[in-house]
Amino acid sequence: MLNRHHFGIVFCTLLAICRLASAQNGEPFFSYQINLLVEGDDGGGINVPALDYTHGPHQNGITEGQYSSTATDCYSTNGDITTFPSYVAAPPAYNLTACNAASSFNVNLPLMTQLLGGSSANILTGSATTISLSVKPSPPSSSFALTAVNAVLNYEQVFAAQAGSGSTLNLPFSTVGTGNGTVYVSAASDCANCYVSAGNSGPSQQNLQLGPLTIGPSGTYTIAAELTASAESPGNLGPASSITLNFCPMNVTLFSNGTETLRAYATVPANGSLKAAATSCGYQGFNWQQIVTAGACPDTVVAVNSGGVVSANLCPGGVGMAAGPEGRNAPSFNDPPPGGGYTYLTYATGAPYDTNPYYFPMLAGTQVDTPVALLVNGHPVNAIVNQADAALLFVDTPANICLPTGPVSPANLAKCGGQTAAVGSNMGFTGNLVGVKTSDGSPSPPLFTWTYTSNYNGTVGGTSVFSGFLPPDPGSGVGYVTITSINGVPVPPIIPPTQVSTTSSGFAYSRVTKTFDGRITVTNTSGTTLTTPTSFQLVLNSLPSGVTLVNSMGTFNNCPYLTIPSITSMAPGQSVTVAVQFSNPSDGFISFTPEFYAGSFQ
Amino acid sequence: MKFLWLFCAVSVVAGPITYDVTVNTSSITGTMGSLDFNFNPGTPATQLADLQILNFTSDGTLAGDCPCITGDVTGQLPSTLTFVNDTAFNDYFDQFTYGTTISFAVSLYGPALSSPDGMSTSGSTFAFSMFSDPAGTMPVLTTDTTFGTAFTIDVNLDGSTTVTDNSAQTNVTPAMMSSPPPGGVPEPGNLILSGSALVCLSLLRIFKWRPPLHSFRIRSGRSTRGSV
Repeated sequence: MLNRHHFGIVFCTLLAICRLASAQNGEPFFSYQINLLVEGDDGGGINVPALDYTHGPHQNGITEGQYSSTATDCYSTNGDITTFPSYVAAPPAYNLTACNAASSFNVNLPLMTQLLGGSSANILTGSATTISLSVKPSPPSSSFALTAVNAVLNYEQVFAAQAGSGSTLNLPFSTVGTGNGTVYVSAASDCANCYVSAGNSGPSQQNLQLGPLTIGPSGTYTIAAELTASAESPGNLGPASSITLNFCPMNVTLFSNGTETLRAYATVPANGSLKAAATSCGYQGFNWQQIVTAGACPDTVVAVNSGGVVSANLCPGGVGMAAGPEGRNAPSFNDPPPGGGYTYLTYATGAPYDTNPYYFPMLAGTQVDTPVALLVNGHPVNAIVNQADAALLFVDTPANICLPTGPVSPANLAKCGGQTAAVGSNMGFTGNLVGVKTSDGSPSPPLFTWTYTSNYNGTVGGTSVFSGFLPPDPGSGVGYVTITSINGVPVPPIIPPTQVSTTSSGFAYSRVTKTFDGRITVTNTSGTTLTTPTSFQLVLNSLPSGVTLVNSMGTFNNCPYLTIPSITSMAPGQSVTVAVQFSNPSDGFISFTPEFYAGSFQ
Repeated sequence: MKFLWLFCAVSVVAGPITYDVTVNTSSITGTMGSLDFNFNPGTPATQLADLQILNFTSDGTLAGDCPCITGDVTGQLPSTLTFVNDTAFNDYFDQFTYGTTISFAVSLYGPALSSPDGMSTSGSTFAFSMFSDPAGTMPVLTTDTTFGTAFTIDVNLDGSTTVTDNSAQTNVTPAMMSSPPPGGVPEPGNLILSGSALVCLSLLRIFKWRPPLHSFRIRSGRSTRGSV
């Protein structure tokens, strides 16, 4: 049986193989190594009695080499699955052939000993996000007793990280087992000490957590699992032992960076169901958390505070909430805060909007297309969190009328106690996508995390807010949201759309390349010179489904981007033009939201 | 020479305009190939524009299973084709056996040219391509080996147009309009601009000038011979 040491060796070997495959096939792809070991009783695996059917008892049981088979393969949707041989004197070599996304497989494992016939009940099934092993031994063909049957599965899957090198990743998953099953799961990337693991054994469902894992230079990470499923003694053949791993990958894309309002949508890979994903992950549903990490005094946001708010988070005079260095070094606090949330925000019924520790009501993410009816300073708003069971919405327009981002009106100044916050103050936040645990309703570790600031000094619904579910009040102030990191990776500063204009040519179709081709021009409309320490990046957010930017330099926030070559500054009125080449199989309109960044993506 | 190009670049024609196009296809006479015309907007934020292919004449032969039309295109060669940029992909494709010459006129008109709204953020682009195979995969008579276009005409956001000519065998020149386009009678100022652009093109041809690639190359592998 492979021990941890062996497992590590196999893992490292396969990591190199899979990177080769990545270069050949692009990402994402999935590859697996499956080791099925049929071993003697000295090493685990299928334990057979110290008896040789032909030659009498073995002193040390049956040796590993006689009953091992090893396969390495990439699985494709067109059936590139190797057959597992049995009774091989030496493990055959299988080379990587093809690796495609959306892989799945179903392999019958003819677990055999010389004493047992093969059994079709032994089945390995898997997909990109789940893998399971089911083992049931055949009855013995003779009267001697077997003690147990174990099957060991080693499995690897390589993913492209959503964020680049240096980012961190949490990998929650659940195990569902019947009978005796044990699991040892690890994740690793190609940097020093970038390795995390978790393990579990026994029947029933359990939730486990891998991470946070730091992503290495390759931008990929590998999940590996060693599963052992056991069947009871053939003398008491119970149901098949099985164990299933359900990983919980979620896609999150952030929108509207550089405007007053930040939006995020969480989706399941391959357009899956939120509900199904939550169930397979061991959650009741998904939700968001927001933590206020910076809040300067004064502001005019008031907590209900029927208990639970740390006094340090209360600005002097009881008006406003503080956090971070800009807020008297008060600790971060959940948004909305415990103890009834904010005075400006209630349910439509008038009940306090007390959703702590979540951003939305705990199970709002499970209620498909069901609006959460709220009042923001008396203004009604209906937030549909779970949209068509396909996307989980996050939205916030944080606002503080006391920030001196622009002129503060005398009326607002009076509300702020006659003074503004310190020059340069921002509101700061951390946003997390989390699961709502089935067991106790508590939040899972973050599945995705980002940080952002806002210096918007207008109003939302006529007031300052941290949780702002309405659009900004037109003309009430200036400022915008700036995403500062995604999954731990710093994000270069965005140049807000108020400072640049973006136009495009028409998109001519080429029968040679089967692409729509044109140019995008970005012009500095700010009146000041824009600078970058490295280069400017143009991100095309919100491209229609199916449309891809063929000449993209890479992806940021799940969106393609182009690097503006050769310039590190743009004078007022200066324009830069880049060629764009779109694949557009449906021939539909090509729309996008341009985002212009002053710096390189990591 | 550079001064001349700069002059022409800023002398873009604003308003409805017609270009006369002639292609010397004598080097591929007898080849069974194909022709492609498409006129597409950029993003949905594109102002309405129309385009007509007029007076198509050739000693070659239109033949084959097509014409194949996609989007908002009406008509059939050699009669007038009319394109409207209100769908994302507006394309006319036809098999063609080349003779020694092809000529036609491209007339652009509509609100995007006659009354730019200043709000749209995307223009439109007309592209003409010739291929040496009936399937339209092997571009011919073009230096644009990447995309295969013989020339393109951009409708800019200010109502002007920009020609990018990738074919030594193709001449694209603003026409002195003898009849008003469907979009209306061009204003005198536009005629003056048209005339100046025509002079520019003629001078560029005379001097066989090519702008430096690093300053005016729009697409990799594509050279630009003139701009109005």
